[in-house]
Amino acid sequence: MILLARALVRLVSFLLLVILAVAGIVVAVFCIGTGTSGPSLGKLASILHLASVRDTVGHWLGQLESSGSVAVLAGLCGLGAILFGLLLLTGLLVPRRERLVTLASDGDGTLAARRRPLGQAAETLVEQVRGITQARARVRPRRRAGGRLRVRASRTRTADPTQVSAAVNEQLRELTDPFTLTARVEVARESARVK
Amino acid sequence: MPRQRIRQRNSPLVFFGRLLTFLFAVALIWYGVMVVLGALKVAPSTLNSISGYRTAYNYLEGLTLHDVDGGTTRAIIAGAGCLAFLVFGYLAFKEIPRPHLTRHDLELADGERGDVTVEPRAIERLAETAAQQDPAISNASGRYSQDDLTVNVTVRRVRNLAATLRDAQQRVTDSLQQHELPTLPVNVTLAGYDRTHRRELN
Repeated sequence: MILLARALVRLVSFLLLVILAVAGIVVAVFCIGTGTSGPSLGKLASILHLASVRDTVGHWLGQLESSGSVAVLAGLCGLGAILFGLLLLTGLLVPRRERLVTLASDGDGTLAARRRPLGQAAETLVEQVRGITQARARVRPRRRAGGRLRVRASRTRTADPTQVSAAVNEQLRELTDPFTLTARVEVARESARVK
Repeated sequence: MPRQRIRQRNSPLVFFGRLLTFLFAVALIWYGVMVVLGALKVAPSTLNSISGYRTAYNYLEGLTLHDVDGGTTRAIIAGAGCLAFLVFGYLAFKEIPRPHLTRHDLELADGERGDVTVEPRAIERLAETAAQQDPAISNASGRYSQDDLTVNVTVRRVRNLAATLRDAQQRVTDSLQQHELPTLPVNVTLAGYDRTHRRELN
């Protein structure tokens, strides 16, 4: 969605600039002469049928302003314009989601990690906690910096859930502190009886 | 691993194109809201007082040929048109994407007796060897480009992961200096975790 919006922003930016440039040179050329013949503004107005455009817009505004039922078509056009404008603003202002979780970035280069190995590293760290039998971790980078780390772990029946959660969080600090990750840990009791 | 990459060089002037699009988007939303309110039969005087749509229309409707046909007026309009063509045309030209290949031979010397060049693969191999000297790294693969050197590493230990990445970066930088190659930013990315070494004893 963001990629589409960004591509649209590029296209619209280019088209707007081209339209303005062409309009500028056309108006400049049609300023050479006077009256309504030759390269004159009067001739340009007749080529562009500005009188007809004026009447059409005036009629449309009159219809919109007159009392009566809700103008469905006009309302839909307005909604479409709003949505298109919002899509353009999204493409302009919302940064693309990072694929990497950045550890540090300066003139010497960037230190970063991909999502999957970082999640696997988190799983390994969590599985080292006493009372944890299995862990699954997912990393989701944020749009600006850092990311979210979601861990689902299974504990043994005898393990205290509060202590296990605290131990998991402590164990994960090795990843969450340097990579600016926000950890969300869910520790559930193991369902299988025998493994 | 495909080592060649295409990058796109963006001009800073692209900002002005984006600014124009921003204004266009805001205008679209603003007048879209006005049209919706008009369709819902909000009083036209209220809409005109906050958006000025009827005032603008009446002004444009009242323009005659006599208003714009004077010599001075035409000169001003022509000047503004030419300026708009030059400025917006140049900005439009700068908006055109210019992709380029980033992986080239590194030219160290260009003298009368010949050229001294280093192939990208040699620099990549140097970086890979340097990174793999870290005991926590089981595999490394480099990708040299004009702007930076990227090293993707696979680790076998997750303890001190941040320190491992920093150490790999330092090793590669030192290695470049040791071989009298130009120093450039070294990006180190954790690209894999060797799960055959998953069990770690505390």
